[in-house]
Amino acid sequence: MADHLDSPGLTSPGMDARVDITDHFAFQKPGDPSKSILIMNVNPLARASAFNPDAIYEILIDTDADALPNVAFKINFADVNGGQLATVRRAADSLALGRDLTGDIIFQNAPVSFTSTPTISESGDFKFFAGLRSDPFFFDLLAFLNGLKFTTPGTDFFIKANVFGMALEVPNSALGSNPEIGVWVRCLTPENGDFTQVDRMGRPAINTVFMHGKEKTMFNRAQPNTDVARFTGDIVAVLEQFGYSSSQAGSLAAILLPDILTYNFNSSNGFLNGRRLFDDVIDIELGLVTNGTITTDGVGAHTDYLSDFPYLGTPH
Amino acid sequence: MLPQVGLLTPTSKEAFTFRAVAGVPGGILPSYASYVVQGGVNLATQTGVITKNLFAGPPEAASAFALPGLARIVRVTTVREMGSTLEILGTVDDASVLLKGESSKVQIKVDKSAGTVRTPFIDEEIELKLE
Repeated sequence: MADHLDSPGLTSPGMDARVDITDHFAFQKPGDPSKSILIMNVNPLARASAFNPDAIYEILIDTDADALPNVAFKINFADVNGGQLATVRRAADSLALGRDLTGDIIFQNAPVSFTSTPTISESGDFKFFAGLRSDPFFFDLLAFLNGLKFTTPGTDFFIKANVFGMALEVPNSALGSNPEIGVWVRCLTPENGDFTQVDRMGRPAINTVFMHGKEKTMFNRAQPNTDVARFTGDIVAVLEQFGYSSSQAGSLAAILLPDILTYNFNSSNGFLNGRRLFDDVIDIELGLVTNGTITTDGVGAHTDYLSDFPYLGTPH
Repeated sequence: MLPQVGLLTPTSKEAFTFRAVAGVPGGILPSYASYVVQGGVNLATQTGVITKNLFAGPPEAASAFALPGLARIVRVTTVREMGSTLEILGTVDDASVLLKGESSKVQIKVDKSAGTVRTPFIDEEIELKLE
């Protein structure tokens, strides 16, 4: 619900959960300020049993605040002997914009973990993990669906959920020289001989909370550099319903769009500086969206996060 | 697309099938999921089966993926016809699926002339549109 179950793949005949983004995270590596952790999770409730070998999974970095990627970590998978192997590339500058598998290979044939023990690959200053993990997201989904009737304590719908995660530990130098960066993720799938963006996510729940009906699909297919022009009206309309003036709503929309997670890699702070696994982003956003009427969903962070890479908890 | 049972349709003099949908959450926020109530009843025998499911996606773009733990199968025990309205009473026999505070007894009101169905969602009655 951070971004779970909102991808257009959900409504296509294929219903491909493998490219349905659930969350992404960006935070300074605990104990080592020279590195950052970038995590992209897909496959809500782990309905599918693997990654999509035809897809490209991307973690995108904007280093100059123009809502276009300057660095892209591109991950793809191959089915091999009943398992999967991952390749991770780093593309910079014009190559980061491409919907293709360009860039320097950082990891090749990195094994995907399907069991509780994470297999971690290392290459120079980089670490990589991909595989089945516990979903770190926490939220009282039923109370939300029941008209935002939250209680304390609430019921965490995701407490026993799994996802497929991709985690990268990177030296900050690989993210550019400017520590103030923007991060978002997207999934690309082949369509008519090209790759099409089928899901994307910056900050949690932007699409879920502000986009109506089929506009959710349009939002998922759009690029962040068009967000302000295309989607400001949608955000303002919802915020005004919660009592914000047009001016206030417009100011907030200007913060929320483009849908990119802002992150200063020199800071260990959490959301809105990047996002750590345990950051209660829903509480923060509930207070913001409802104009302070609702400040918590009554559930807190999971207790199964690992203290070391890949940080995502053991799958249930 | 969601599986279709059909419109509120008289399949015989005494039997009706229907399908009704509402987006949740309702109100200000965009719908995240589709609450679907569908099934059939027999007025003569006072029997039937109604299912309640919550599918991911808003009604305009709903999926066939039912959120786990929220499906209910209602065994119809009573059907009353009052003008254009059917009042259906039933029971969820599998108590293990019920949420805390959720009753096993279910009431569903089908208003044929208004094109609506009213029935509880979690703990509050909501209105669904007949399709």
